[in-house]
Amino acid sequence: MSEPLIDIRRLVKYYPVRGGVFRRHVADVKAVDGVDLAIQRGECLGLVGESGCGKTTLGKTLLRLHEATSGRIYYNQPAPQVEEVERLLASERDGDRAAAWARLKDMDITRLGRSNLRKLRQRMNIVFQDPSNSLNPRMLIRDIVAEPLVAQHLIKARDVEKKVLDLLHVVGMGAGHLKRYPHEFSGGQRQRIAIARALATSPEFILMDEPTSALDVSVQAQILNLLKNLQRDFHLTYLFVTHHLLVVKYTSDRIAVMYLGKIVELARTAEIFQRSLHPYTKALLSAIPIPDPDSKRERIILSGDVPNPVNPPKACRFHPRCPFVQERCREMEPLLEDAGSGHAVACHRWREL
Amino acid sequence: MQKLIETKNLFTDFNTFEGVVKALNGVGLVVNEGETYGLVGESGCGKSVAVRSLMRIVQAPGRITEGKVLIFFRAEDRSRGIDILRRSEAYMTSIRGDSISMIFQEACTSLNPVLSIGFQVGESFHFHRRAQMLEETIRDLDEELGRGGFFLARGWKVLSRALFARELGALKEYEGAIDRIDHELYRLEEAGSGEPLRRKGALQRRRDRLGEKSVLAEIARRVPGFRRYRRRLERTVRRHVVELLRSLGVPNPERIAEGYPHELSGGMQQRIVIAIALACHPVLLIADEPTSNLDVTIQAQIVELIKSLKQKVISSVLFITHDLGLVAEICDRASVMYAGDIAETASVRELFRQPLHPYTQGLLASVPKLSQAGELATIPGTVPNLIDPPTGCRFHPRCPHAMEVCKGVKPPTIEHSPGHWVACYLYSDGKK
Repeated sequence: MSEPLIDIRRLVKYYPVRGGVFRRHVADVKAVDGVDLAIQRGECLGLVGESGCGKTTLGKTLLRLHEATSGRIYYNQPAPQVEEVERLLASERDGDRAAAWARLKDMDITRLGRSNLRKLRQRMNIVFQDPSNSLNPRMLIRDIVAEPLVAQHLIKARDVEKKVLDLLHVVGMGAGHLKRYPHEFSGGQRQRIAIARALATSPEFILMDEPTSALDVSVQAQILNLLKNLQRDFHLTYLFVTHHLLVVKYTSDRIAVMYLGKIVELARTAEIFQRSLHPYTKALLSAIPIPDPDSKRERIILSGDVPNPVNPPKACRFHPRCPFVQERCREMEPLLEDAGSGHAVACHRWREL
Repeated sequence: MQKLIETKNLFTDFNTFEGVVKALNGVGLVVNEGETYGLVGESGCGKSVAVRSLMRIVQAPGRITEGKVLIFFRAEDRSRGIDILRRSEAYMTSIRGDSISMIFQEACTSLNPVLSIGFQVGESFHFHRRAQMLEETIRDLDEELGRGGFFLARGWKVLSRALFARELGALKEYEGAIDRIDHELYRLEEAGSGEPLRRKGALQRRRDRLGEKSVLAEIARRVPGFRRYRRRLERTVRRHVVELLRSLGVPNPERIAEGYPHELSGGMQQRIVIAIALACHPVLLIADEPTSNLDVTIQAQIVELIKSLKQKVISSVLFITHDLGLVAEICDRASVMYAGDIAETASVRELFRQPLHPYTQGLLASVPKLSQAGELATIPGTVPNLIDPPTGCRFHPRCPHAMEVCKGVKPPTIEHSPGHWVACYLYSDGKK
């Protein structure tokens, strides 16, 4: 098995809710609540879930666009070292833990200093959901695409035009588009520009935050194909955040399903679709409308809505909506356990269902 | 099969500063009785404009410039239909929300945030079912009076009853007048005169003053605290609202009716909007992307709800969506729209099994499927700007089979096989 590029351990992100006259801290929105996830080098990991489940927060915390509340994110660290630090952290002795914390300063994205973080930002990038909001309407396309390079001092002024042109060619655009503004382009073209900008510093890792959900079907297909080809040509690693299961099925090697701040199931793409184990995944899969009038499926209709993440249900967070709920599910939280061949699931009853 | 509503050669334009947006380019579609009809297309293809034209609620600067919208369910002469584009606004008001109603994409923007849910759902009962509500209230009062009681309370009830009875009488008279005018209008339409429109407008204005005609009603209006008698009517309406909400699977309907839209989740808000639309048992429900802002699991709930309502309550559903999966799931027949044109119309099975129009073929191929193998096919290019649309067939610049003839004139819609209509030169004069 290849080494993970990003190794997430017990990641937690709470947003404080303030109230009262003194803006006291009254509660937390538990957006990400203890996530363990490893993203392998060169893979596309799909992260699926309903709105408000914390998938975008998780992605943005990886890039440190949000500060994590607790937990570690190891970026490109050899596995033995990661294991050793984790062992020290769990140790009883204060000295061991202090040593671990000292080492984390250089290993953990959530604790990196300014200059290290700046260097790291060359290697990670993001494509946002809606390109009409993520491109500055008052900048020329040339400046938009060159901005990461200029900000990182990676390029001389006279090389900018050529480099930007190369990038635009990569995403299927041309010289005629250099000196124009974002509003002159259609949604699909804007997303191409956003992708070119993400590629500018030759990153290893790109976070795709619902890159096609603002686009039409025929354009979505173009962008998905482009992303696949780019991944192959530039050896990129993607974290593909979306709510659209058929899109991740097309793009991803593995899929992680998230529910209310927790990963409930993680497996290879084909495995998720053939042998899903968690009842939530099953419901999610059965709810996708399939573009085939003859497809016969048994539908699981979940009752109710996604609970409020300020006050999530105790024990298994899915139990109020789960059709297979038992006493156990209301009392004990299921942990993510291995179900064979890299398939992990967090459910007490996966063996029986 | 009996037609329910039909549009013929509908053109709608939007006059903007940049030019005239030709949003509809001669749209013809038919919704039959008892079917779920889908209208599919990408954003900006005119599917929403098409149904808004059909309901005559196109907002300025939009204007329906040409065409007909025929309704068949209300016709004095059911086979020929009534052209509602030539009817008065008052006529449309009596149709909208009563026999045709509509639900919109974003439930949160179609509900008023400062009015209670009970009030908003009850509005349709007040507006379209006033007579029934009054009758029920009077019946309730009679029942209570029959049981006897304290004489002051009795007096109040007798008074209320008299006021309601008066209002009911006036309303019936008014509705009778409207019916007569409608008949007259229909006859005069054949002769081609616009005169009765003014008379109908006057009647419409009279409706607002109903119930205030008598001395009693005048007192009720002037004396402070007297209007409280109307709370009786509110109570009857509220009872119907709660019943309706319960039938749509809203938990705890009494409490929800007291509440306000922001207290509810997106899925629940959409249920409320559906409740408003269904209050008067419409013959046609138009659903304009009712689920596209909802999560998949909630979308599944709403789709199931619409399906079961279709079986029990409503005759036909016109379902607008960009999601081909949803079309396959719930529709019987569907049309594919592209840039203001109907490209293809067929039964859903035919449409998915044997798509004829190159755009339909491209669209189907570019959706990721469960059994997706290999690369996703794409349609090159993007949706054209409708200020300056391509000549002839509007799809020809993106079409893999474009011919010389496609650039010239818009292709006619032909029936390729029974019930399968397509607008493409590939199939004209019996080819393929």
